[in-house]
This record gives sequence, C-alpha cells and structure tokens, in this order.
Amino acid sequence: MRFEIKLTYLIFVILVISVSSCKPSTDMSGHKEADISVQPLRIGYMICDSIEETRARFEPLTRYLQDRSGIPFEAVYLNTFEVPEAFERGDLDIVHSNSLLYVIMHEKGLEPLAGEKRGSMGYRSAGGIIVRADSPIKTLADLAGKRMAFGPQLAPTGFLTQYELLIEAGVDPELDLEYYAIPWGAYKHEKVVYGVWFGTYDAAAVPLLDLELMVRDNRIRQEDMRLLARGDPIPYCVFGVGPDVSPDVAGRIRSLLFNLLPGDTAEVEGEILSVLRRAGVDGFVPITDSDFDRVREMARKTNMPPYQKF
Amino acid sequence: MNRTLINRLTEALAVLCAAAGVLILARSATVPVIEGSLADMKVQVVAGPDMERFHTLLDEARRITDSNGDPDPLLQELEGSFPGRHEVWALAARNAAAQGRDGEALLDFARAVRLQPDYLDERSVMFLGKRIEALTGKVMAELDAARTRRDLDSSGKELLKTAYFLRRQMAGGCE
Repeated sequence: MRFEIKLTYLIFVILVISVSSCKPSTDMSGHKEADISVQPLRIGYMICDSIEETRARFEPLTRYLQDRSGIPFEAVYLNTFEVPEAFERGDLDIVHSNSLLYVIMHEKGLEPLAGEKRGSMGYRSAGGIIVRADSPIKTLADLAGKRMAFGPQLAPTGFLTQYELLIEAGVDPELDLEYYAIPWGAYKHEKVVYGVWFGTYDAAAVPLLDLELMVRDNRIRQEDMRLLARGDPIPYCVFGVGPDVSPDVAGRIRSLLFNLLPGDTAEVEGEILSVLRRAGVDGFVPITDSDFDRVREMARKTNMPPYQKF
Repeated sequence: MNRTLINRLTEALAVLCAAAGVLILARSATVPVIEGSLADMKVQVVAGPDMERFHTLLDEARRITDSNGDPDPLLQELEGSFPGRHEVWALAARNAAAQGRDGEALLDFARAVRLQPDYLDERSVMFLGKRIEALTGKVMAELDAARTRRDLDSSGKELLKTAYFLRRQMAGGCE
C-alpha cells in the first residue's frame, strides 16, 4: 500500500515536470523570454530576388544571432504578400521586410528594431524612373501613352514611389500609360532595367539601390540609362519585432545587430561565412517609427495598403 | 668652400624642419585635441522646449548620418548646445567612424562613455562595446607604430590617453 502511494506520488511529480516543461516560456506580461528551449523565435525574411538568394544572404546572420544570444531562431522565407498575413496570424516574432510591409504590419503591432545600411544612401533608398539615354522622353508628362515596366506592387522604391511621382506629374498610370506591366518570377528589379535596355518598354520603375548595384557589377552601364525622376529617400529594409517578444530579448537582438562588424562570421553547413558580406549589408543602425512617415504619405496618396479603399 | 657647404647644409636642414612642421600641423588638424579633461564632462539635464529642440536636432542628425550624408553642421550645433548629452557624442562617434576618422571617433566615444557608461555594459540595450573595442584596438595599433610615447605629438598623446581610458572602462576599472 505504501509502495502504491509512493508510486502515485512519483507519477504525479513526473507529470508536473513534464507539463511545466511543455508550457511556452513567457513572462508575466505574456512576452516570449530568452530562455525558450522548446519554441524558437521565428524570423520571417521577405524574399528579395529569389528564395535561394535570400536564404544565402540571411542564413549566416540568423546563425550568428542564435550563437551569440543563445536564443534559438528559426528562419522562415516568405513571398512579399505572405509576410503581413503570417505576422497577423502570429506565426512570426521578428520580421525582416521592406518599409511598406513594415508600415502595414505596424498597424498590427510590429515595432522597429534596426535599419539596414546598404549602398550609397545608407539606411535609406529611393525609387527612380529610368529611360534609355537616347530616349526622346524628357519629362514625366512625356510618359503619357508610353509603355512602362514596374517592380512588384508592394515594393516601396520599385512601385510605390514611381506611382506617386506619376500621379503628382498628372499622369495616371491606370489611364494615361499605353500599357504597364510587372515582370513574372525572380529578380524583377533587374528585369525592368533590361526591359528598357532592350527596348521592350519605354521607361521603368527601379529602386536606385538596385541600379547602383547593377552598375557596380558592370551588369549595366550608367551612361546607357537616364534618370527621368527620383523620389524622396525612404527607409530601405528593416528588422521589426512583434508584440509577443519581451523588451529584454528585443534589446539583446538589437544590440547584437548594432555591434556587428565586418570581421564577424558564422558557421553554416561547415563553412565559415562573413555575416555582413554574405548579407550584402554595410551594417545595422537605429531606426524609429517616424522614419516611415513619408512611406505612409505615399501609401495614402496612391491608395495602397494599409490605407487602401475600394 | 667649407663654409659654402655648411651654408647649404644649414639651408637644407631648415627646409626639412619646415616640412616636418607642416606635416605635424596637418596631422594635428586631422585629429582634434580633446578640450579639457574627460573627467570634467558633466551630465546635462535638458527639459521643456530645449528637450524638444534636442530631440528634433538629434533625430535629423541621425537620419543624415545613417544616410551617409553630411551631418557636421547639425552635430556642431548639438555639441555646442548639448555637450553634456551622451547621445550627441555617440552619434558624432558613429559619424566619424563611418567616414574613417578613427581618432575623432575614439575621442567622441570616450566622451559618450564618460557621460553614460552603459555603452560598455553588455547587459544594456545601449551596448556598443564591440564597436568601441574594435576601434580602440585599431587606433592603439596605429599609435604603437610610434616607437616611444615621445615620438607622438600632443594630439597623439591625447589619443593614447583616451584609448587607455576606454580600455580601463572596458576592463571594468574605476575612475
């Protein structure tokens, strides 16, 4: 009889331990804590040019953050339009996205964590409209009745900026252009540049950072293209943090990002890789929500999410 | 004959001395001498309209700095009006480091750390210790190229003192 009591007590203790270890680790306010051993923090990366390219860029960074913080991370790669949906479902704790996606997700509780520095404009970039250098098109008004290629619809410097530039110039893209298109598949920003270069389109909406990188790598010559107009600088890609992540954990990740140096490496599948160089990033810097006000203004003027009205 | 030779040698020596002087002056101009002692820096309390102006200027200076622009006019205004605010010196340091002005960045980081030691506290969200450590190592290596401390000019000596201050802080020493 005493043995049965002892056995029952033992089973009860084992059950209590099992249940408590399965419970998600949260603090009093429901935030996810750093010592999560069961459930990793999920970082959602917006796919930039292709899933392979994005994975190759950010896998070392994810590994670096995990190794240095001791927090387990799981990288999730998503198409642009899937990112806000996944965040709203609560599937993502941290998000790496463009500035328009940030503005959309901020409405659902995303807060800025760190801005990404890349290229000559640092943590900001701008959109431009280009034509061939020998094109007769001289002003934005000349684009009426012409063929134009845009980047993906949720691209702040590949679509949104140029859409606003045209509207401000009195050219309604939906009515006044002869035709406009968005290329299929990967590397859309490059495709629109080559679309103009080969004469398929009269003009293209292109992020100036992408053009800068193409010129740097000799994939296009600067003198072959002419910049017809450029938009205001707005934040480039950004890390944001969801409301379920505790301020302490968010602070640790932010600190790791701000302290990243060109010599920092991470091991991925047996290879030691430079974190910043592989990500193609110059560094991470502080950023505030007010940095995105110009993006909000553009989205309102062009009837884009999160302010879209039908 | 001998006198002519001596005169020529004297002239050549004078030209060399003048050139060395110019070089020393040019070097001094690139690394500004820290004004006053770090120990004299006092935390400045800002309130009311001044606080609003402080944040407006600081935010704009940060945007320009991180956009690879030229924030120097704004930073000079901030340094003049709010010398006791660590945020100003931390931003000035980031700007100087981004532009490759390592000596200046080191001095500015030291001012920021003097006013707010959390920049070197790994548990703090303000921690920039890894960046400061890397910069200190780089500047120290450049200073080590001089054979002795006597070989350093006044700004070099000031820089060395500041680098030692930061190293002591990183090691957890008391001031």
